Amino acid sequence: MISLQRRFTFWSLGGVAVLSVVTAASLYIYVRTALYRQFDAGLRTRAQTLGSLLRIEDDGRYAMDFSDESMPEYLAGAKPDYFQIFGPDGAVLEKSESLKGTNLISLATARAIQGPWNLKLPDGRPGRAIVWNAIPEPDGDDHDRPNPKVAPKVFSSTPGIVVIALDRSPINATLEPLLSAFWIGGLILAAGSIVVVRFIVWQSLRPVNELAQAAENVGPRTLDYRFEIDSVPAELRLVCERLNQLLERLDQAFRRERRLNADIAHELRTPIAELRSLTEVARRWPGDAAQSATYFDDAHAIALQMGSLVNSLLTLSRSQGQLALIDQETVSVQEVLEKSFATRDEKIIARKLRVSIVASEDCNILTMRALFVRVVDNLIANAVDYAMEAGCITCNIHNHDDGCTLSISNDNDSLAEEDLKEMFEPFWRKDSARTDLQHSGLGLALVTEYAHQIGIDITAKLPERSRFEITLRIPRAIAMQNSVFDSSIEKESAARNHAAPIASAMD
Amino acid sequence: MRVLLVEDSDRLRRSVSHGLRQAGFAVDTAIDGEDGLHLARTENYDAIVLDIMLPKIDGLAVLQKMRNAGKDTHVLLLTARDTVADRVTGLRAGADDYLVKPFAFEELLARVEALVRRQHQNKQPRIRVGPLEINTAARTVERGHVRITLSPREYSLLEFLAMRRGQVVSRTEIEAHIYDMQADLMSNVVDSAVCALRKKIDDVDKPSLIMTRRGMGYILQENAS
Repeated sequence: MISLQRRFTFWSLGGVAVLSVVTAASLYIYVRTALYRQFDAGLRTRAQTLGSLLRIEDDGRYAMDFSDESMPEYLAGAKPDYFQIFGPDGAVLEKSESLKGTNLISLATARAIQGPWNLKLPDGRPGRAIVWNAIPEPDGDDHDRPNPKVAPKVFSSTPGIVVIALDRSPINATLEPLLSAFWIGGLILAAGSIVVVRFIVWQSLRPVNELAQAAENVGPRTLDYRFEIDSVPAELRLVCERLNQLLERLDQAFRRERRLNADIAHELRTPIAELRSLTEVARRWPGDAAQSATYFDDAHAIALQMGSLVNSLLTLSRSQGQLALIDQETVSVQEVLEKSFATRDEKIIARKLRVSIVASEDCNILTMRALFVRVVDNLIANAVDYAMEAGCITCNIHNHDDGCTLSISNDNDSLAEEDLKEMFEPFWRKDSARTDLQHSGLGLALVTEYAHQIGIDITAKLPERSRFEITLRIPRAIAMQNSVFDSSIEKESAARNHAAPIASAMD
Repeated sequence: MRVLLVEDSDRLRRSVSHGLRQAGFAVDTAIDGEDGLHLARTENYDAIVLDIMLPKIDGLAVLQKMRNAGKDTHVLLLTARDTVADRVTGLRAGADDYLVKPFAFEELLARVEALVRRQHQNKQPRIRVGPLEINTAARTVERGHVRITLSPREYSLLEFLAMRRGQVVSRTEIEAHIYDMQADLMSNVVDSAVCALRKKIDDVDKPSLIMTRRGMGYILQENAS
C-alpha cells in the first residue's frame, strides 16, 4: 500500500542526501581546484625560473647556468624537489641532484604531456609535475649587436623542455581534513535529516492523519458527523467540504432507507395482521361456513393487496436505476392529458368535477412516451381522487424560452405546507391511519422517479387557499415547440367538454 | 365481559371481533377515533382494544381524551409501530398494555382477559365461589371436579357475577357488560340467562348460588353451599 508518510520521507531524505552530496562535492572540487591552481602557478614559476637559466652557447648548443647551491631544494635530502631539463635534441641537459641519476620522466612522456599532472615522486611521495617549454636566451651581451666577422649564431626555435616535480603533500594535507569534514558533516546531516524530515513529514501530514482517523470513525450510525473545515489546511479544505457533502447525501440516503424500510414494514404489518387474525380465528372456530367463506374472500383480497404493494415497490426499485433514453418519440402533452382524463370520465362525473385544459399552444416533447404517460396519468389520477367534491381541476400548458411547463391544479383543503416536503417520499399518505386500501402511497414517489428519468423537474405548491398545484418543467432539450396550432385538439377537447365536464381552452 | 374494539382495518376488525365473540366477549366496534371515543365515553367496557393509527382522531388522542374525561377502562393499544419509543409513548399516554401487529390472536385474547381481570381487581385466573371453580384463563367451570359445559354468554355472565362476588349486580350492569350493541335485548333477557345458568351450576338439593335481590339484581354468594 502506498504510504504518503513513507513516500514524503523517502523523497525528502533522498533530496536532502542528493543536495548534500552535490554541495559537498562542489565545494570539495572548488577548493581542490583552487589549491591546484595555486600550486600549479607556483610550479609554473619554478619551471620558468629554471627555464630562464637555459642558454644557447655560441656554437648553438644548449647549456644551463645552474648550481645546486643556488637552489638547495633540488639537492638530495629530505623531501627534495625534482627537475629535469631536456635539450632540443632530447638529451638531458640538467637534472636535480635529488634524482640521484635517475630520470624524472622520459622525453616521450614529456613531449606528450600538455598540462600539470600528478605523479608519484621518486622517493614515493605524491607529487605534481609540469612540463615547461623554455626558449633559451643567446649567451652573452652581443646578441643585440651581432659581430659581422663572426658567422651569425643560429638560434634554435626548438625549445628546451623543463620538467619540474614538487611534493603535493601540502594540497593533500589541506584536502584530506576537508574531505573528512565533509564525511562527518554528511553523516551528521544524514542523521539529523532523518529526524528532522520525519518530524516535518509527521507534522505536515498530521492534518491528513487526523482526517483519516476521523473518516475511519465514521460509520452507518455516525453519519451525522461533519469534518471540521475552519481548522484544516487550505489543501484539505476542499476534501473536507466534499466529504461533508458526501456524508450529508449518505445520511439522507440512510434516513430515507430506514424510513422506507419502516414504512414497508408498517405497510406489510397490517395485512399480515389481518391474515393472521383471520386464519387463527377461522382455525379455532371452524364451524361457521358462511364466516369461513368471508375469511377466504378476505384472505384473497389481502393477497392481492400485498401483491400490488410488492409490484409497486419493485417498479419503484427498478425505476431508481438509470434507464437509457431509448425509444424516444414525439409526444403531445395535451393529447396525453386528454387521454388520461378520458379514462376517468366516470369518476369525474360522479364527483361532479370540472376539468379545464388551458394552453397557449400545444407542447410536443421528444421523450419516452410510456414513462411520460405514467407521470401525467398518475398526477391526473391523484387530482381526480383527491380534488374536493364538485371542485375544479385545471391543467395549464405554457411554452417558454427554456422549454415547456405543465401545471396541474385542483381544489384541496386538506394539504398543508409541511406536506409538500414529504409527499414525494415513498409511502407518504395524508391519512396517517392508512385506512385507504386503494392507494399505497407509492404513486408520487414513482412519478418523481419517472420524471427524473426523462429529465423533467417536478414541484408542488399551494398557490392559494384550498388549492394544490403540481408543476412539471420540461427542459427545451426534450420540448419541441409546436408553432402550428392543431385545431383538431380544440375540437376534440370541445367534444369531451360536452361529454364530460372537461373544458379545454386555447388562448 | 364487554369489550370495545376500535380498528380502522375492516378485515382485522371483523376477524378480531368475531374471535372475541366466539371466546365469550360482548364486542362493540368502531372504525375511527371519533366513534371510538364516543363509545368509550358513553358505554361501560371491561376493556378497550384501540388501534393507534386511526382516521379522524388517532388512538393516542382518543386515549388521552378518555383519561381526561375520567374513564379508567383498561386499554390495550394495537399498532404496527414497534419501536421502544412508540411503546413508551403509548404506555405514558395511559395505555395498560401494548400489542404490535401482526399478533397471535391467542395472545390478544390472553391480554384482553388479563385486562378484564385487572379491571375487577382480580389477578388470579381461578375464582372459587363455594363449590364452583372458575378458570378465567381456560374459560372453564368445574363443580367438585366435574366440568360444567356453558355457552359463551352463560360463561360471561357467570364470570361477571364471580368477578363481583358478594356484591349485588343490577340487570342494567349485566346488560352493559354481557351484551354488546348487536344483541337484541328483551326486557327479560337477563332473567332468562340467569335462570339458564342456575340450572347448570346449581345442585338440585341445595340453595342456588345466584340469589335474586328483588328490585336490585343478583348476587353470587360465596357461602351459599
